[in-house]
Amino acid sequence: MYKRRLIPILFFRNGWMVRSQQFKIHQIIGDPYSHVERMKEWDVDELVILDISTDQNITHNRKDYKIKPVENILELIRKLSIESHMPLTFGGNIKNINDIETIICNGADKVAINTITNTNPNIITESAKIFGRQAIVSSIDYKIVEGKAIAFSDKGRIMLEEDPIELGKRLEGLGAGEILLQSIDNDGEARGYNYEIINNLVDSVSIPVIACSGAGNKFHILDCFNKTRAEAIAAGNIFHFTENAYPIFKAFLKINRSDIR
Amino acid sequence: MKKKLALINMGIGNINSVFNALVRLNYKPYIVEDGKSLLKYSPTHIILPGVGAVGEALNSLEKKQFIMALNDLVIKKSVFFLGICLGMQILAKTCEEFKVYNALGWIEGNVKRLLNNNLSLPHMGWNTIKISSGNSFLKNINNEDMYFAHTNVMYCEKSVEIGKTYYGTNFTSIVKKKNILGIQSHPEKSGRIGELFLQNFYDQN
Repeated sequence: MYKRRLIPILFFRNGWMVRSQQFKIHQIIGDPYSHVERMKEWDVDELVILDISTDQNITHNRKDYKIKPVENILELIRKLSIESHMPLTFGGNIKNINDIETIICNGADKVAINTITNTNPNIITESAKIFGRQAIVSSIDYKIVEGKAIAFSDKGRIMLEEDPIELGKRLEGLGAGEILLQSIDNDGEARGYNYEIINNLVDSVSIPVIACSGAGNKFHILDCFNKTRAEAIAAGNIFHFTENAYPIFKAFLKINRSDIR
Repeated sequence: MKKKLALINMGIGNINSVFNALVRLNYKPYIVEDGKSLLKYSPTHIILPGVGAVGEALNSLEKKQFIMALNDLVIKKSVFFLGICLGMQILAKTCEEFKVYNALGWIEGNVKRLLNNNLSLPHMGWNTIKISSGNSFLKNINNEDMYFAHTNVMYCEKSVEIGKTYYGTNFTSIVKKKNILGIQSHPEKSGRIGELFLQNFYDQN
């Protein structure tokens, strides 16, 4: 039986893992290696790491932290690929096909791209031709503006002209293999997923959708599985603040649904 | 006899995942870049990992003179062969993706888009492989979940199908013909059961 996935997302910013709120507030939650280590122990269905770094040079190194920031994210990907068998998607700050190749050759199975697609939509088509469309995840961030959902790019800073549904259809046409849907309003707010937008997108495209943003407890996640047809559900912050959150949630979901691994 | 495991690098996509999985099992995979070095290495086991597009893959196999070498080793000399994902698909006679390509033709069948009653494609994530015929390649493996990431599947003669998977419809997920094995899912990404699958392959004598 086909299993729907529960996917933790780690946000990497300027050397550290962070929690994110509305794409604006970011609090450091620790050393990337120990977070990745925990994901391995949890045997997650799949892992997404998004690099939302702003500074190219990581100078920040607080004296009260015993651990140093991670300067080379590729090293982290390599280590993951050497030590674990988790399917891994990596995204953020991707500028061109060479970046995609570098990330994949260092051990990621898929890349998530967003901002670059606005100036160079063909990057999806070209990279899908080389790496297969299953390796290309298009990420869509959206916000409700005057009652209407509008897509944003560049970490929520640039408002686009399309709504997330139209954009999703266009990205599928270009060759994307999967869509990661994030709600800027719901990011880090822990008040549940936006089922309506998720279902609209799922019904409008024929590639898998990973629904993200809004999980505040295990019931939100179960509700999202029950009320939407998204192939996968992702969450970020919630996995950091509850002891053994992933295995506990998985056990809870399995009692309630048969299509959980 | 000492085992020699060759890992074919078509030069597209990521072979590190398979390489690393084999190293975790304490094997010593030798990465070969072209047909000549494959023949020279004279392996007992060959793995062809494949992610990417079929056109690029076949092009690269041809250009790097792998096809001749593989026909010699696998068909004439019966070296054990495992094709993973795209590596399984190119075992068929033809593969359709944008256009129809002639593939290795070791297995009577053709590869095309999975017709699955409007479920999303690519077929992405964990799904169960139902073992339809047991043999030494599948020792201790019963109906297990493995990780898939593909759009096309092989439509082939039922006599070579030893595992199948349901995604809107049943499709062939493991094929076996003599010394040749192919799997549509990614054992290197499928935890303990994936390791067991790779172990069984390596244990063939």
